[in-house]
Amino acid sequence: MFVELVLKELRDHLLSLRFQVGLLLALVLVSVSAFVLSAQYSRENRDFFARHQQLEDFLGKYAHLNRVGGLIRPSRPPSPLVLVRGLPNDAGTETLEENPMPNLFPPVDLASVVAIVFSLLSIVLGFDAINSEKERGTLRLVLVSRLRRFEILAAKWTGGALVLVVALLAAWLAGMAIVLVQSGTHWSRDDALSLLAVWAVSLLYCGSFFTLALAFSAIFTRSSVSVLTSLFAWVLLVFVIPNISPYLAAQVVRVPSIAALQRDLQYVTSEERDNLGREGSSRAVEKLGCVWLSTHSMECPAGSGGRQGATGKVTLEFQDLDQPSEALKRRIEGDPAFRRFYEQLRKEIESVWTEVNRRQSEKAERMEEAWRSRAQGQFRLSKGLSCASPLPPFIYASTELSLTGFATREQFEQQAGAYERAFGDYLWARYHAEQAKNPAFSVDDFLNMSTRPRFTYVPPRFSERLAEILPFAGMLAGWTLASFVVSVVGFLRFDVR
Amino acid sequence: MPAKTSHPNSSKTLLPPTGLVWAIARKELLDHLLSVKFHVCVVAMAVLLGLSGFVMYRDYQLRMQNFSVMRERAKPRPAESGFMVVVEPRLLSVFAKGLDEVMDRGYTVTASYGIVAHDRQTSAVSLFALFAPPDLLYIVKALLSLIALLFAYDMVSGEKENGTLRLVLSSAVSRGQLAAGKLLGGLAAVILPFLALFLAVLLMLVTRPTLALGSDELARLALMLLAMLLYITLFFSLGVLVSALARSSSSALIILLFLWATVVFAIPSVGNLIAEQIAPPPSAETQELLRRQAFVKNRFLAIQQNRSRAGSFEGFNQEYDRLVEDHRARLEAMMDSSRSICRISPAATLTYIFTDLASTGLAEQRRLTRALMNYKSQNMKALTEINMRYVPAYSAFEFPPMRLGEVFRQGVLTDFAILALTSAALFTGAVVAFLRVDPR
Repeated sequence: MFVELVLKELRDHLLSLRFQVGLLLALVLVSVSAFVLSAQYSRENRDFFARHQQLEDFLGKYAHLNRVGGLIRPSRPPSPLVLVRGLPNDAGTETLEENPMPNLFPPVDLASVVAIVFSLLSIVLGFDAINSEKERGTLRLVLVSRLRRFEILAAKWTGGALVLVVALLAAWLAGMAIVLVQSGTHWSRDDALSLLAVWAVSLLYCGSFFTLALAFSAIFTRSSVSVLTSLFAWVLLVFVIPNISPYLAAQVVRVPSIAALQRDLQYVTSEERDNLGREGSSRAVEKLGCVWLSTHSMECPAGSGGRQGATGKVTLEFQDLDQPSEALKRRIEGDPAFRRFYEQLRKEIESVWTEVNRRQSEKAERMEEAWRSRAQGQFRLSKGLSCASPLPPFIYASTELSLTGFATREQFEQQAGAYERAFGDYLWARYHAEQAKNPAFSVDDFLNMSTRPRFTYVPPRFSERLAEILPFAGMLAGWTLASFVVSVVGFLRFDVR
Repeated sequence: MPAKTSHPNSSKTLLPPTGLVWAIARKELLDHLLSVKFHVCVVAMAVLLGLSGFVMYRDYQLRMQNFSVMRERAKPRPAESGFMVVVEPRLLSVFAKGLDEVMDRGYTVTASYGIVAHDRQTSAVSLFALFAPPDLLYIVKALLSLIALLFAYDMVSGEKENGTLRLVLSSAVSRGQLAAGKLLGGLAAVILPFLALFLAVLLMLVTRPTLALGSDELARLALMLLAMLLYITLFFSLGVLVSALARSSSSALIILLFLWATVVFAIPSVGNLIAEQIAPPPSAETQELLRRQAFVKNRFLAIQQNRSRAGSFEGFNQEYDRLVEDHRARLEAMMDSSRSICRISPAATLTYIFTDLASTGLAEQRRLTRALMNYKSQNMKALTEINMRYVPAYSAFEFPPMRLGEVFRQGVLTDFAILALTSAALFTGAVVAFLRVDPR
């Protein structure tokens, strides 16, 4: 009897106008977006490799130590899981003019079709499941059968859930087939499993809306009331809570201006550092009897540190301490007392600058850390607030699985940081090797970097992605379960007359 | 004296035709006022408009605070390689945020490595990038259209199901009068509470000191209001049209809901993606890499040829200006085709009208790029001379919002015309469908 009821529900839904209209719309949207997203993926992929090749050619001609840091920036190829777009790739934000369209119209992808169209379909399937039977007078008939109320409700739920399974499966198959044919991408085992997991999370998400609508149909005896209530709940959960939560969080946890922070950091690590360094240096050299003439030069007693009685003063350019002029070199070689003085001066000033650099970069780190912890606080709060609706957990889970989520970005940034350190080490090692061959080799001379380590992005394994999304899947399951309990209670108290 | 006789065709029991239309409209309005649906919708509207006004106003306040902090910090100091300019948040971004977040940040303008845009304030919290801002535009575009449909979906089919349509049509009321009366009454039931709530929220906002609206802003807001009314009429008429054509009110609702999702969300997004296929946008990452390369290359060559630091500027700027020009041309081609395609959807048209009027739209962003590039070339001499000890005289960066006349020339008029024509066509369609409806 239970199975028969489930099959009847399934049949009724599959043949209903609402299901057919909704599914048709969803399939059209998924197919169109799969087509365009695959083409976009191919284009971005081509761009990615073209950029790499272009950079290789460029470095072959113009690479030098002094300015190359900004060029070797790790980047990751576009995610092959093209059906969920997620967070934009942030690497180009310094550009004067970005493509503004995604800011005006959020791009459509599988996740947004599920988030809006499939959730609407789920609401439409469930909002009158119980009360319309009462309105038609068939509920009394069903209740005289051997089935208990709980079983009837469970049968209705199972029937609806099976319809969602079928509908989502159809959308997935259509989307995946188009992407495979269009973009020629290859999915690894992890990627295929991720796609399956996105499907499962979508099912949980749609299930939570279907169960919510079912609960309303068991609470309100009139379907005209339950349809309104379900729609308003849907609007609130899909269009209001997710959008409003970051703005509310921004009111509670204030994050100071990022532009001001960047400006202050620049000040602390350049101008303030230079001023402190010069002050410290002038104090240090005064001890040795020198006098600063300007920010660039100083006057020192010629015979300091050994011979009695000065025979004439020496004007030292600041840069003489790093790269002594030819005349100065001869003086250093020919005059041991002056050499001792010169070495001492260099050591004093070097230790001042090392200390100033250390202090200033620590200060900058502290400032950045304080700012980051505020930003993290705001991020956590807005994420927490947004999880009052099933939509954000679904979006977080599906983007994480498709390698375009928050955690994946953070993991990429860690890999990028490690690479940048390794590259920095390589760069200095190469420079010192060149200098050993030729002492006149400078930071502005061409430096062959063809043997440098190359960055390859290692995406998280499926098990890691799964661990990341489990809390979100749990939230969605919790939504479904809570709504189901409400619908059971509602139906047990339902007045069938 | 005998009393003056009225028109021979009129009788005491029948109102003149226009009076009849008003009577029907009033009855329709009163019916709505007493319904649960009306109350729920009005409460929802009040909550949404109030919440949106509050949240977006506070957001604007925060952005203004950041702006004043940044402006203070932006003063040039000796030893810098360029000038920092800051773009002020637009006042009307409270109602339509549009691209304001993209524009209102700091930019470092240099002679040696071009113009660098600083991070956006919201880039710290990526949730902002995932969900659209809940401004007035969003509320009207997505939610008010839905409310208009909810008022309309059972206007004809509901009466047909209750059997009241036959009853009314058997009276002396003509179908035309009935259609006009019901449409006007229903429309009034959506528009009047919305107007009242909108004005209340507006009044609350304009009394705030940060949001001092001048006559120019008020004119822009009035135009936005006109666009909103056209948009609501459009969706209401669509609802009545489908209601008259559908077999039952529940099937009318289902069809309308999916139609709504298509018009409001699917068409603008898909249209945009299709436009990217027709005219692929340039990659921001590639542009960024090329800018950095131009800097590295020109400095390297200058050093190799024993030229000073300033000796690399000319070559760099030629290369950089060409790069920006090329990037912008490709971007504009894409935006133009996207605009043409997306106009099929009234939701996209409304977005263009709102963002252009609020100076947070596509045209304003194009203007900003041009203004920054002009600023760079105007101040090239000062940018070349600035060093450790000396800040030369330079001009301040000004970027006032586009004038209203200019906004109209940029295409808002076309958007208004499209919206008005579509509303009129759908309204006529709804009346015609009503006239032909089979009341059985």
